[in-house]
Amino acid sequence: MTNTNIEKLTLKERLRKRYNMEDRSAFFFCYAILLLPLASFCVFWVYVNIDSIIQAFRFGGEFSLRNFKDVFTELTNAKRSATADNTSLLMIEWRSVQLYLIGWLFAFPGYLSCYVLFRKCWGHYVFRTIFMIPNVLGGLTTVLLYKRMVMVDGDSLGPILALIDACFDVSDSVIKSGGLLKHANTAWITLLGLKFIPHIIGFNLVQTGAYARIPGELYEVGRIDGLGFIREFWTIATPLTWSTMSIGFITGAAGMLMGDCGVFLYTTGHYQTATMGFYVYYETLLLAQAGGGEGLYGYPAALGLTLTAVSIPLALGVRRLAGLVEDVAY
Amino acid sequence: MFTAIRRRFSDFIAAQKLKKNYHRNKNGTSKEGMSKRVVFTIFTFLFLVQSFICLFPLVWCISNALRPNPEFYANPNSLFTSLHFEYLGPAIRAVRIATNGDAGFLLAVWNSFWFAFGTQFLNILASLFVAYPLARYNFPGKHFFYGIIIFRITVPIVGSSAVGYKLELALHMVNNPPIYMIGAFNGFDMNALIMYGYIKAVSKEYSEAAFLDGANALQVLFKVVVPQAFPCALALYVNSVMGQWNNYQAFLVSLSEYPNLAVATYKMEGARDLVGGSDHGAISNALFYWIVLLSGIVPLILFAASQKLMIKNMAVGGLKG
Repeated sequence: MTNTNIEKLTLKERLRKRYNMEDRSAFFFCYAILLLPLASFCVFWVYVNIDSIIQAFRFGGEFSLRNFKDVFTELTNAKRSATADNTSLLMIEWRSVQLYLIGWLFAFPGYLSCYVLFRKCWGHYVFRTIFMIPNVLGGLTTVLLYKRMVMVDGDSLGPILALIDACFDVSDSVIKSGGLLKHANTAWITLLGLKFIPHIIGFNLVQTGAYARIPGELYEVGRIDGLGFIREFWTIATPLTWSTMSIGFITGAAGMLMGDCGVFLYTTGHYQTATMGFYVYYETLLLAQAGGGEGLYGYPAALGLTLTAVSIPLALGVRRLAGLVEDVAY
Repeated sequence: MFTAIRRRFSDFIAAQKLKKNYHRNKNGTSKEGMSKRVVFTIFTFLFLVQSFICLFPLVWCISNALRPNPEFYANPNSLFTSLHFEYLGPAIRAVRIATNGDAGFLLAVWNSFWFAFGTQFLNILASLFVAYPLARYNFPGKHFFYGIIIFRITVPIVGSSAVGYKLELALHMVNNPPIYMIGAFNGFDMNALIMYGYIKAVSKEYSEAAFLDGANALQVLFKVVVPQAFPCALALYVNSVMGQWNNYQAFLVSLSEYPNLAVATYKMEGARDLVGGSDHGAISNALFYWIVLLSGIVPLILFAASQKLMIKNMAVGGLKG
């Protein structure tokens, strides 16, 4: 068949020539099975995001940049909403970024402890079960318990507050205000402590799965070569599971600007603790409590669009950085 | 000849050295084996401290649930001295008060149940529907569909929840559980990626044999691939259910007329804060801690029952493309 003849064939004819009946029925099956998830994706993700862009540029039913002006005014000025304690959006955002950065700081100690558990240290089974408890109980339960532990209840101090008071002598103003979470000087640092301290050493299910997939012979080779434990972790386990680790970093970066640490339950954004994750959720909750309504979606949509515009280069940058370390195939 | 003997001798010495190294490392008597023992000892100590940090809130909660108010306020940081189960009944009844009469305890549990188990079942099913063709078939557009998953995971589109609520209103999903659940049938997510990796790693031979025996694609999916991928799907399902059991955010925004146990717990906490201190009145200390315990018990049972399964089956590969 000459080139001229190929050019004359229609798309339908070309497909018919390239794929036999069996192939085409397999394709039909694939598309059919993907249809419902794809439709759901189009409605709940694509449409929502397109509508979000449209709403961001609408004010009073007309095209306007007013919502963006509001967002940019509040970047450095006090926030309009009472929920954020007159904090600027930049400050709120900085708190979310702090959560991401501190998460990075504790990532490798976490992976190392996970590796120690994977290599079956003494009591590993019991430890990994215990370490999962805060995650298993879920945010609500653990947050409410931790909250009680750093507060003043009646005349008595919660156990963590009592311990901190015994060690560092907490000021009277903090005690009088009702505890560490009810004073602007201590609330944020307490939230950080409550978020990260229970998880510095931990057990990561997905990472353990990745360690388990490393062929045992590689450890044997390392043992023969006289690798110590830390070097074994660093030169064998880390490169071989980097692809899994990098997913954690990349997905973390994708949500960097929306970081939250249970602010809604701990402080409802008061005492200088609002984060962007909390703020966006709270705006939605207020909107839902008002029953929705035209004109109310513009500001949150503009805020979301602004955050997305900043997030995308950050996330792609982290993805690029993670890609600098080459995957090791095995 | 001398060179050959010398080479064989040095090979022999090297082999002996390796053998010795291996056994010393295995027995933990070499320098390297020692390093492992030192790391393990340090981490065992750290793990003990961490275990205390993780367990203490739970033990404190159980202790507070089991003792009456006066005993708690006399010494809030001590453990119970006698067991008082009589607060369990009032705690269960208090759910109705906490939800302003919208739901009793059983209804709140039911709302938690259908939300966690139902929506996550649909989500995992959708993930399977996405992962299976991507892992097993080569069809035009395959890379596009895979790209959607990677795009969703890595490219952040944030802050669209307010407009998402607008869509929910338009589709009558707000306070409408059956329609709300349909929204969960969205498989282009992390679960699909994990399942994609799992199905790809599973042997194709059974599927091919089934095709040879005359099975159609749907039969192969449900009678061969689903049983093969079941451990992974179940692990993901249990993990997702545990995560959603105490979801209060969706219930406060979109399902406010269907309060679940988490919402009851959250509202009870708010009520305690309003009353303040030891004058909680109807909302006694023990009631509050019982509700907290009740809201956490299902995820704990699920985890205890499925821990091994989850560890074994949850692994995720790299992001390509």
